[in-house]
Amino acid sequence: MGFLEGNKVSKHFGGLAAILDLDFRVDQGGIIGLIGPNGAGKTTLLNLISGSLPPSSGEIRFKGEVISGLKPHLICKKGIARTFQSVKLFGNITVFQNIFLASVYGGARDFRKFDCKKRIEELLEFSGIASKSGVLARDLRIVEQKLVELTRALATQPDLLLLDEVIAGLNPAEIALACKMIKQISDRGITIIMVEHVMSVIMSMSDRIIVLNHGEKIADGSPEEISKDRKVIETYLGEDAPC
Amino acid sequence: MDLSNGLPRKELSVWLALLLIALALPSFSPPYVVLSVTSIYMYVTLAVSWTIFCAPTGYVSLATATFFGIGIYVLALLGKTLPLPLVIFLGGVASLFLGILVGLICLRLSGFYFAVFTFGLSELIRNSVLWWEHNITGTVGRWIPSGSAGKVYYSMLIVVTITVITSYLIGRSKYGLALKGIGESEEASEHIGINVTLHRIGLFAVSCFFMGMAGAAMGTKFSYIDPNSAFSPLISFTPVLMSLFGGVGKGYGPILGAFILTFISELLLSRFPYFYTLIYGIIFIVVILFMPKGLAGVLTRTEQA
Repeated sequence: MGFLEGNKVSKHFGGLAAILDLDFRVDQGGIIGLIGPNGAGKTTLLNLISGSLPPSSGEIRFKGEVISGLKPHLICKKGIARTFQSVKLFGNITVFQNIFLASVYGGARDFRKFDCKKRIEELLEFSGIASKSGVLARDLRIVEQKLVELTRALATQPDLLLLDEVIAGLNPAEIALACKMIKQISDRGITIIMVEHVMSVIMSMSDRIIVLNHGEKIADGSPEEISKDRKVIETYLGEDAPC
Repeated sequence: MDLSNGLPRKELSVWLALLLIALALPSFSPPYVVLSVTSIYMYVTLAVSWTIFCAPTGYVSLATATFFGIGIYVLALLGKTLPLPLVIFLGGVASLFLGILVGLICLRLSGFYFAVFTFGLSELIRNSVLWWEHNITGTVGRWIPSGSAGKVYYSMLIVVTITVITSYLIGRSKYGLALKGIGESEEASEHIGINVTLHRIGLFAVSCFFMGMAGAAMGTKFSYIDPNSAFSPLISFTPVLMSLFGGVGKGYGPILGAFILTFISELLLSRFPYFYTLIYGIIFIVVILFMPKGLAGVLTRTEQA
């Protein structure tokens, strides 16, 4: 029994297949990079796993249970959290309240009221945004917003975390900060699937990389294997890949 | 769970003082004032219960009259046989169930369509009851068991107190916070484990419950009702205007708005019976143009300055 398995998963938008008969299997632990050209179906795949979209056909299993077709809030309770390509925070409430909502609703499995405040403070400490606890989320800088979104996802106590272009729009120093945090999350035993366009980052962070093109898997392997793969070089990396 | 500090002692004492004055009012005021204040309570109840749902979710319901009218009709049907407090409660329950039904059908719609749908719904119900009375029972309207001015006053006072306290508690609870979250980003809310549909329908039903109670409590003021007055579209629009006038950003906004606008309209109605709606309309346009966050917004700005 795999940790996360997809079986002949397809997603059609009208006549267009965004994901086509995709089989995949992810084991627990580590960071999995998901790359591919624009329109390859990366975000669609994350949407299918997290329940934003139901697959047109096929099924997705998480820890042995079929989760495809479930509502997102139920999938969240089963242990899958995510972030969004464009940050989706609750802007008019404080950072603390953002995290609070995620921990009472998402982490309901072993929620105990009196622990809650302490746990949120620990999380904020972990992400280095403790000083922003009382600030309205909309007043934060973009990098801080991204960190809050990551923390909010963590607060739901996930086993699997889906990251959609977390580092897009950040400067090099901020990228380093975000990468460090992602590594730390991974060290906590949370499996991570990340979509990213910055090749140097994806190559250095990932334990394994899956490459999509036109909704189909064209390669799957370690970063070294991927960077030498003919098909990947032709469709995505180009001849002088930056790694 | 509480995230903010409790209500400041000063504010609490203001509310308690208001409640004491309200309790004693009928003993020192002429019946006319008692009746006017009763309708202020009614509009406060409607405005606050409208805001409970519509402010955090961003949905605009134009079906207030439906749930209010259901309460009145429950009173008309059961008022002779059952004790009044029970009838008022049942008026709320009937609206609650209709609210759940409406919620299941149409809370999947996006905001704009929801507003149109609820307005259509309230017209549908008004005309259906009208048709029913005309063709099936062969009557127009009904007599209702009416109560004394004092009885109506205290029933309405109890309803408005419960409504305001509940609204305050919801605003402070994790549900209130979750609803704010849903209003800001539905997608993010569901991905952190919030059951968006359940929260929306639940809150909508709660707000309908209070509208129904208000209808049943207020109904005793009239001795006769017909569908056109029980389900009058004005009952749907006025609480919206009042809430916006007072400002939905603060808990006391709708209370203030309903209080002042009811007061003004009573005043205008007696002084300028012919220009009443005209003046009322102008006041409202001015408020929308120059005070987009309502009176509460203006007050907050003055506080900060």
